[in-house]
Amino acid sequence: MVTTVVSRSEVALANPEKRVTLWFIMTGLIALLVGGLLGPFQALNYAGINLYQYLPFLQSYYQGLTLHGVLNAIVFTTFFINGIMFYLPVREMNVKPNMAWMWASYIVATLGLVIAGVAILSNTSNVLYTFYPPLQGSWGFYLGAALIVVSSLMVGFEVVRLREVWKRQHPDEATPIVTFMSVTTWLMWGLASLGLVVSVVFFLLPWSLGWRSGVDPLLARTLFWFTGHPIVYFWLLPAYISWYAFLPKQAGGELVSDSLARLAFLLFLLFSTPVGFHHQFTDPGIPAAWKMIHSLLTMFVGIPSLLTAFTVGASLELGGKRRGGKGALGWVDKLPWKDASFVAQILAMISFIFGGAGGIVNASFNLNMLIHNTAWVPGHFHITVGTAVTQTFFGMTFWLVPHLTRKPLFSNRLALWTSWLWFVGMMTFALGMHWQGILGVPRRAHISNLAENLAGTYNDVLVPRILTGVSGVILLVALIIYFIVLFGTIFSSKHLEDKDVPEIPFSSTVKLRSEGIIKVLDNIYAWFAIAVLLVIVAYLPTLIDMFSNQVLSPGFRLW
Amino acid sequence: MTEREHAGIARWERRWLSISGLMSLFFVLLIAYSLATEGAHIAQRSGRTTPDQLTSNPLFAAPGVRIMASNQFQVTVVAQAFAFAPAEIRLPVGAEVDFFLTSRDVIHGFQIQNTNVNVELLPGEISYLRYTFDKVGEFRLTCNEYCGISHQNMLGKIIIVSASEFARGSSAESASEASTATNPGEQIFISNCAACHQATGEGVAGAFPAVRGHINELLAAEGGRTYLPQLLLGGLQGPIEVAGNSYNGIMPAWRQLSDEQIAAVLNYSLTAWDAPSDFQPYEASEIAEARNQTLNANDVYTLRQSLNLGGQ
Repeated sequence: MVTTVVSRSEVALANPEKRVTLWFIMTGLIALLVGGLLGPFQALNYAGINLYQYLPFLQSYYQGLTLHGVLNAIVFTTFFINGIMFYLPVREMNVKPNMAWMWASYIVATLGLVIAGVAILSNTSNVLYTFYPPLQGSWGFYLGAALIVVSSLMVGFEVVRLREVWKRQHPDEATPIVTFMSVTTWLMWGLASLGLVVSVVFFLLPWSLGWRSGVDPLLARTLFWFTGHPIVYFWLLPAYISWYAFLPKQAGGELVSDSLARLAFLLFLLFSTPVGFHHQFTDPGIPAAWKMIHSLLTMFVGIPSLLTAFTVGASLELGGKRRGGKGALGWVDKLPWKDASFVAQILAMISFIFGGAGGIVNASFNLNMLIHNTAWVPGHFHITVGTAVTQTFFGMTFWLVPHLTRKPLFSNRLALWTSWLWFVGMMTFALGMHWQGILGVPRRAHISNLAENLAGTYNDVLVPRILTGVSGVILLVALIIYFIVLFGTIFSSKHLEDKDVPEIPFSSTVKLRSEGIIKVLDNIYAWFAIAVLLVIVAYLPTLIDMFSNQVLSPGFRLW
Repeated sequence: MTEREHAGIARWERRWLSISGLMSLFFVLLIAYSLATEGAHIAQRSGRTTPDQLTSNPLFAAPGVRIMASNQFQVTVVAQAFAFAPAEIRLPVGAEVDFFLTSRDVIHGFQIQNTNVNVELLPGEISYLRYTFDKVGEFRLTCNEYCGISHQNMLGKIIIVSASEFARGSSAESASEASTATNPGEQIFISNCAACHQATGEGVAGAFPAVRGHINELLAAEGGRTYLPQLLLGGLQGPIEVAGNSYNGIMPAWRQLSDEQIAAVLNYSLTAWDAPSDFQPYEASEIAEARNQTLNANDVYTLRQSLNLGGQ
């Protein structure tokens, strides 16, 4: 399907990076389509409606949930980010990328997708996207996931290299802002992915191949969360790039503080990784003092998000006022509420206000006890990664896909509809799930298929369960409309004139009196070194103890 | 943008930044205060053990409720796919309870509804926490960590009763325990098998097959007598059909039980539920011989398929 699309579209010869970008984002979005279509089945499960017997290619709810999690949270995110976090800095710097390397990265990622996909569809790897040992999937699951991570590191390497090239050409200038943000994000991800890489290469892969008799479940969990928390910033920061660098322009304003935006990204570089224990508050075997330190550091990582809320909010206010808005709130009305790309992203930002507040609850060592592993948690990450990130990416595609393919957006009106429906659906889902979580309904449980003697166990939690079920139906409609818009655009026979092709909406930034600060912030490698140091301090003592005292567990396949 | 506009934004920026910092700090202080004053319910490592040593560990040899002092209780729970042992815990209101929790196979969760008790149970880890129940009532105990195909059915109950009711209940319980303690096979069945197969041996339709009525079919099949010890020693994994219901779960291996214990529990299950009149009880030596074969759950499944059971 994608083949015909790309060959028919007139990819500008001057920018060969457009084609690889389009392939990355389209493959990611198709993964999201498949993964997303399973979502309503899960939402209805929480409403007590079991439709899994009608899905012939799935053996169980848990297989479907594994597919949903892996396709949406690992495949979609990584492919899409590989595309945009390569394309945007390359166009901003106006440098020539190594296209062979980029295509190699695409092939590695797709190979990973195929291998992991086969493993999941064969019912041998129903380990969910957290794949905690001693549940054991087939080797293909771990290899596939690892290859997808490898592909992202290849892209990150290329972007960091290109910045070096640009720096040599512009020795006296500070890195342009989108490139600065991309490079700090890639460096953060390089450091953060270490946990997963070590876990897969040294433990899970040899274990699943039978070369290793067992793994220590606590060590594997700890390595997973070493990567598993910062991976959410790897998803979120590309959305932040759009909020900082493009949205002000789309709203008619400019980014009000260049230096503060850069500072926020440096704080993410520093504090994204040394926080993983806040996913393990209920694990025995990690000293409470270290958990408390990670709880504290997680609070710090909230600060750059609060900064973002201010800077982006002020930039939008500036835009609204320039469009004629008056008074304290009059500017809100003047924002471009008919522009689907803008609306999708502003709704994404609103969802993140709730997502961020819930995140602070999760990060609080004491409050976490009430909601750990309950339905609250998927409620939380569907308004963070599922809305703040995904809907921002949707909003970006409304200009990016016409930009890459030179085809007009299929329908701005439908794009507006999907944006509102996705937002309303996800907010309803989140309300239902957070509520259930507080009442102690566990996450990812096939509760529509309880054993006879247990039927009715959760009937005291009926209202929020119905909300979750309803949200699944709303989201199904939103998903279908989105893909009508996307495929309608790609398969359109119309072509845009040169003057009508949307440009990348780089915002101008305000740099008053901050040139000196920006120079200091531009020492990215020095900041990276501090980030490494922080990770060593936060993790090394515990990891040394875990590595030297392993209690090995054999693998289990309990499905 | 003009200098003046920018100065206005910059002033608010500094205020916002200070408020953000102070708010985070305030949250951290609140967390620290709450943990210092009432953080005992947060699980910590009490020790480590491998799952095959659980039965020889004095804490977990017979999991359940123990009265330590007038108002002090010790509760030990072993989780395994897909049940808690014990699945029902009765305690008096106001009792100070020390929980010791672990898992025999994969990672499970241990969450008590309406409380802050929420623990990750890892194989190899013994978790400890202290909690005082201050309300009478029945509370759901859920496994909140995905553990396999029947994860949603891994539920239990915490029943908190008044002190007087507890005293009545526990004396009745110990009386009934005394009367049944005569059969060691039954004891082993209750503490190891009943969580899934139920004390009546009737199982749970769709989740755990019945032992009652099925075990005799197995014994009667050709090769069935050698199959049964292998089933307990190696476990079983694969789709099966029992009494018209399909199952695709897993039975864990029970190698940690001694030859005598396995013989006793097999003999109990067979004789309690209509063994044939010519049934020859299993001897420990027979189990010891079977143990030498070291079959795993998949091998046992293959063995089962060679039995020629009706309906398969």
